[in-house]
Amino acid sequence: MRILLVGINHKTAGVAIRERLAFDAQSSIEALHTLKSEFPSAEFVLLSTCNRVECYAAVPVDADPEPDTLVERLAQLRNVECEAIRPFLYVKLREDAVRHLFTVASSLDSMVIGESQILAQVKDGYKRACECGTTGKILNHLFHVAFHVSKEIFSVTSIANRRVSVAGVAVDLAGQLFSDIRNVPITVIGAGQMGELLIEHFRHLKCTDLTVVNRSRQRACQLAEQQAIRSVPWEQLENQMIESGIVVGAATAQEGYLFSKDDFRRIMPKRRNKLLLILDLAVPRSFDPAIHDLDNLYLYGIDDLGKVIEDNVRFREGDLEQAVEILCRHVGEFMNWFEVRSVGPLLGEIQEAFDRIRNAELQKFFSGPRRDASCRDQMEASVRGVVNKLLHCVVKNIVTLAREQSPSEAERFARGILDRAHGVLNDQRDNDSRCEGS
Amino acid sequence: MVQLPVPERILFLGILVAAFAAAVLGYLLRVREDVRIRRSLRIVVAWMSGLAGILLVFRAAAIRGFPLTGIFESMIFLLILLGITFIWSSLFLHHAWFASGMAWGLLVLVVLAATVAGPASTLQKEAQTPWIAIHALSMIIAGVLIVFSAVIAVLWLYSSRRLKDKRISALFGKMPSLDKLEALNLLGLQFSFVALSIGLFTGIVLAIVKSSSLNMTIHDWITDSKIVMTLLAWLIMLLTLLLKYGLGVRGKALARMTLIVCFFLVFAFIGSTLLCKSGHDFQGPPILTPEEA
Repeated sequence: MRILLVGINHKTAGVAIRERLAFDAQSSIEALHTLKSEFPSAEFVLLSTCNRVECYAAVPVDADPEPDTLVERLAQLRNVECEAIRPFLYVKLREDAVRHLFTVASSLDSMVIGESQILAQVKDGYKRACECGTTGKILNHLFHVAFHVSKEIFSVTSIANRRVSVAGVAVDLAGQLFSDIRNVPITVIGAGQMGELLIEHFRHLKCTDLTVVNRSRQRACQLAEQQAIRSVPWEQLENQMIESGIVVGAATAQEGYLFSKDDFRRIMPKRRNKLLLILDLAVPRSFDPAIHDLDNLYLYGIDDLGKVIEDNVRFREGDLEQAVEILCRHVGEFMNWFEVRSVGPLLGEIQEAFDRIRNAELQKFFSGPRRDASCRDQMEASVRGVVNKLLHCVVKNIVTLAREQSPSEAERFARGILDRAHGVLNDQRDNDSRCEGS
Repeated sequence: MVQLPVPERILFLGILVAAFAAAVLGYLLRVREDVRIRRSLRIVVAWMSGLAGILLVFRAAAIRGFPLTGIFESMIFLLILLGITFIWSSLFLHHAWFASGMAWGLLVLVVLAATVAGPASTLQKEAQTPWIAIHALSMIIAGVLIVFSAVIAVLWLYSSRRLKDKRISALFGKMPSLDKLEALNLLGLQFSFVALSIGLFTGIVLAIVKSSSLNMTIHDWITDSKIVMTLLAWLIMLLTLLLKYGLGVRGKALARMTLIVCFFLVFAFIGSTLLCKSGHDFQGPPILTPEEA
């Protein structure tokens, strides 16, 4: 068997190309059934996400599909001209294909390193292939190892430790000020698209005390009703500042800043200097940056959050080397298994030959006067034990040879043993026939 | 330290070694956050507290009484309480900074204790009243709580500085939130204030009841460095709490005032004994071994 992969991803093609080759759940199932019916001896898994479309296959050595055939069939299945996508495709074989899958499943090939969604997508793709019956011994083992590698990398390294989205960092930031963000009064200034998104995000975090303030009262009421939160008139914005723990600015100021440092010099004593976090996500900004100098008040703009994200990305990348080391180790182990398993049938043949030699020798021994010997059962068990132990030594040596040198060397060695065993069997048969003749 | 009887010297040496080991582990924890190091640190501090407890039992056996007669015993008792506070708080404060700071604080305390270590002695006969036990215990509890509060205040200031400088990546998952730190700081301060108030009240009662027999005049009492510093600490503590609940002073101001109170109280307990002459010492002559006698 050989493992091959053809695919396209965000690094090789833009979204315009990727979307042409993308498979949804239903078309994936149809494609898998089609491929399996055309190439019954091969195994297939189809992975289709917004960033990649990849088809993993395990194909018998001298059988179809060849990589080119697989590309053509995938293109046909999506009604895309093969030549239109060929420049953006990559084909990977054997170890490269295995390494690529492990890299993908561990999110090391993702746009954002450490994102966990890709593992779920790989699992979905594999599950679908299992349900369609297009996987077999090779791909089953390959994907299970990929899941294990991903789990190990995620738990041992820090690649998924810090958040790398604006919303995620904002939540982390709030967590550095407030022990339970759910009970903190939050005011969102602005009922535009950004305001709405933020409200949804806070609601998702189970924040209960949410208020929206907007210049257009009607729009604020509409959004408040839609999201089941409170709305307050624009004129009461300052009062709202006194009560809130987190203020999110998502409304652009018409002239200058909405709030100056002097405004907050007045507001903070009224708040009894309680902690206040202001996230100014509007462009142009709504809050004077000098406000940040005041005690118990922390003002973060979109650029500040961006810098934190950069830091977090760098932090994640710091452990990349360790992640690659883990990955390479598992690629090696998988390839060992893969290569050794090609010697498997030969090992079965050797065992069979040894059994035949044993049976022939026993038969010869218990012929004639010893035909009804009482110790026959014990003798047979004893000889079986000796042969099995010797066979175990032979098998162990072949496996070691395959791992330490090469599978072909191990195959040659195993074949040599098998030939000698067959020679011994032939000699036995000749002797027997000569005895019978005399 | 060499003045200690042999069994106590061995025990104290064990405490010193454990304190050094804890400090090293605290440093390692800062460099590389590892659960095993954290666990080892907890075990070492537990050992240190245990040895300190045994040492106090030895001292108690020597004087056949409650072993809180001198500065050395007080520091050992402080060490035990701080050790227990550390072990208890490390169960929910999983932050390298806190554990490391506490470990180094314990080492400083042990080294200071080594400088004042001497043989056990009983209280002067005149000072032997039940009030003295309440007085000493309250003062030690106040000291432990204010040191805990000060550690939390330092963490608050550090965390706030990072947030102001917008260098927050290092804080995520390593430091408690500012409001949690402030609540802990305030809690320590409040309980310390109560303990210190009890300590001062019992001290005043003692002074009134025993002033003639202890050869201390009112002037001696109110000019004694230890008493002046303790009173100052109590006043600042009172002022801090009034400002907090009256004017809503919090955050940086609260943390800084906690540190000032801690400085005064620690200086009153340890510094005044080491650096100034204090009449607030009611130890009798040391208990000597038969050979020494």
